[in-house]
Amino acid sequence: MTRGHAEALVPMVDETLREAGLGFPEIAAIAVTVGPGSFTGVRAGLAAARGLALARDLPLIGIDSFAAIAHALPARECAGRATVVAIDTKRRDLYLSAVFASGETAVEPCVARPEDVIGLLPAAPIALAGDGRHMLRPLLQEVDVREIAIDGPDARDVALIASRLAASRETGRPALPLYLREPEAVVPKFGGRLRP
Amino acid sequence: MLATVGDRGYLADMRTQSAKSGMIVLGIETSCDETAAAVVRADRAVLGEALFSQLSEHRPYGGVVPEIAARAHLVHLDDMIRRAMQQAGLGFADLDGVAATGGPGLIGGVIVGVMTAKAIALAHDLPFLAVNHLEGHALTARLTDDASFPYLLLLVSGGHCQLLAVEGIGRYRRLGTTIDDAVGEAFDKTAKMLGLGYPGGPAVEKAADRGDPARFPLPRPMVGRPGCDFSFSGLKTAVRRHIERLPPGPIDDRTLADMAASFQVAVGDILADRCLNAMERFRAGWGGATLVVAGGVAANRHLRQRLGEAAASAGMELIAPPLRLCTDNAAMVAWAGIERLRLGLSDALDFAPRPRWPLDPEAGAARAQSLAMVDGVA
Repeated sequence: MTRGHAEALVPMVDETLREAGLGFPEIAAIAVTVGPGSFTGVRAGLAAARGLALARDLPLIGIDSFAAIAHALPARECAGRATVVAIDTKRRDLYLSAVFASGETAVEPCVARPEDVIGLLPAAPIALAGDGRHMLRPLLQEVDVREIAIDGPDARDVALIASRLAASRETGRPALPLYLREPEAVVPKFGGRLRP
Repeated sequence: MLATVGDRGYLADMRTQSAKSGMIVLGIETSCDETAAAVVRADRAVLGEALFSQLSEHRPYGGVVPEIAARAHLVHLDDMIRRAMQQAGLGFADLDGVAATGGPGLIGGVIVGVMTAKAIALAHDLPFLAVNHLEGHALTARLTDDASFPYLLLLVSGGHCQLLAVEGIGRYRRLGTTIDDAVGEAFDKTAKMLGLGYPGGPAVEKAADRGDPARFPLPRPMVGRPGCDFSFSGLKTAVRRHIERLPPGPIDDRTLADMAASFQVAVGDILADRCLNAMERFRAGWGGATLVVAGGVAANRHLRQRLGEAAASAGMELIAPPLRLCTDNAAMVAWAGIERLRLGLSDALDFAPRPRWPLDPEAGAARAQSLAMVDGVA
């Protein structure tokens, strides 16, 4: 719903505050997903969050999609497992990150084709989540994989992570998109001139 | 390239005036390659303004790359807003509304501006105004010269070339439009072929200053024909043919200047001829006596002069806003917001950005139908 975000998001913020019986004076910080994900959708969320923070002079806390999805994993089912989050780019590859059970990074957030990244994943038991998990699953026959049916980030996890960060005076990521991919643009030959 | 305009004359020392001078609106413009914010008051005072030009980021590509533009808007917009507000010496709670270009334009950038504006509006419970970018250009003459309705508008930019009867806020009747390229597009393509760089308008104008406009005979499509439509495709092709006929090797400066001048004068003749037809129709149908020129191409000095002469010969007055309000800017967006707010108009926070948004929707529908019939589809 890339286009739908631009319509739905701001009224949703309004509604959520009303439901909570809160106004902006009671809000301490604005947290926002920075991606990776649809470029346009990520920007819609970030622009709104940055607008709110600017208008109310509030701190901004950026949370990446991997952290938000990992936060939602059921603790008991995933105990002792490395976490692999695979997000479908809708372009036949994946946004991917992997973290060992110890909390150490196994694969830094990246964009990759499933077959290119499979050798980099932890050989240990894995908890696999994200809407791109079905693209990795067939390639992980030899590994103990627990698939968790979580597709994407949930705003509750974003807010929960941020409140924990804020309590320990951490700032999270900067509130700018984590694109992981350069914009597609071709520099024309001779700058388009008819003569070199 | 960062340009703030804190010390310009029009940034009146009116900040200290009483609140009686009327409502104050923050305007945001992100529909192409300028990231801009401005604070404007209903008494036509521009209280604060900041603009970031993304030119250097797009130049290597010879045109605006939508994804690069959208990325840059997000990075720079809140800083531009902060500067404009600081310059105005105002807090967000002092505003009466927040306006943003809601279209037409590059959708990625429009979304950034619209979302930021909606968020500020929500945060301070202010009206949100989704402004048609073309209406921003159309109403600039009321910000700068207090033009009264109705007036005839020549809207000339990189994406548009139209003649419209402006009857009031939100009320436009299109008298003519381009049947192929926009005039700014013709400038850009000519500049590109000549290797004059991007953007083409200022580059061609600069080169033309030193050129002989009589050296290359170029066609004037549509000139002398009835109606108010434009065509620039044939002119562009003629420029290409002339360049191809030149001796091999790089083009010398003299030839570049002569070609640019020949092209610019041809464009002037076309615009003047079509405007003369439109002025006749406008005087008969609407009774107004003002021709307004707006949009980026209106910054061209030769064209302004040519249009001034055409208007005078038709007994009409030409209003051409100052150069910096012809190109994309946020003051015009804020002003269009004020105009709409004064009529009690505003937009819901679920407004959907509109990549296409004609000023006269009926004219668009009529043209689509006639084109479909030509294609044998209808």
